[in-house]
Amino acid sequence: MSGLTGLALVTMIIWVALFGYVFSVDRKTKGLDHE
Amino acid sequence: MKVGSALKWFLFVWMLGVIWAAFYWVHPAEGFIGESSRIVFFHVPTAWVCVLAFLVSCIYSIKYLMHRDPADDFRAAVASRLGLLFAVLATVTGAIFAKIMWNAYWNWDPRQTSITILLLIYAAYFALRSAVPDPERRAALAAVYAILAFVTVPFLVFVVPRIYWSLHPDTIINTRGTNEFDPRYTMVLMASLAGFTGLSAWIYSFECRIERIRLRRQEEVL
Repeated sequence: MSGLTGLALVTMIIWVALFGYVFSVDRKTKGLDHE
Repeated sequence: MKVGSALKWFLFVWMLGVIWAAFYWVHPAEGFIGESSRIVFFHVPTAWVCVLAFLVSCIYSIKYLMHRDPADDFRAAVASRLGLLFAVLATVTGAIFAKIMWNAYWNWDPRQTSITILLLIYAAYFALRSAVPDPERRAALAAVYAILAFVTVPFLVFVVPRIYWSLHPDTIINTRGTNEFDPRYTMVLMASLAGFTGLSAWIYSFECRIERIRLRRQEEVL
């Protein structure tokens, strides 16, 4: 695996993890707002 | 699927496309070591979101002083927090670029110095908020401070780095008023700017929701 592919992979993993985290927090707070 | 949910998934796919294009569609720019020029697609948008968030904070601070609505106070605070977070990210990505290009994370370049001053100014905003226990007094003082803090932003971000000689590469619109970026670079950068703006708007909306819930619960307790 080249250095560039590695960097692209790490960036994609960071984005997927960040999106997953933001998505889950968003859903939780929506649930709290409707209580 | 609701529109909001569809937009979030669109953002997810959009940013995956931006990452792919940033690494595989554009070629490394001339005059840069290795692949270091690609960091521009993540560094510039973080700096952009930082300025945008500080502007939002200033607008809600003005609104608070006009209407004294606690919601405007927390909207301003959330925007400042988001701006501070993205200012840190811009500093970190800039330092990584500096290490590759100039072999040192920190060079006291005008841009590095001005972002440090900006970070300190907005860190002091939160020190001020935590130092005043009375909510109304805190909100009023923080609003005045946020307005004054934003006055420094155009100088520190746009003026000072252009007055002094800097190691920093040309911005999209350079000091000669032209855009000498490769068209592919401009396209991916604009796509990344749009993606980061969308992401920050999303984070901002749920951070405001959290603050609204907190305020409502405090009122219920009282």
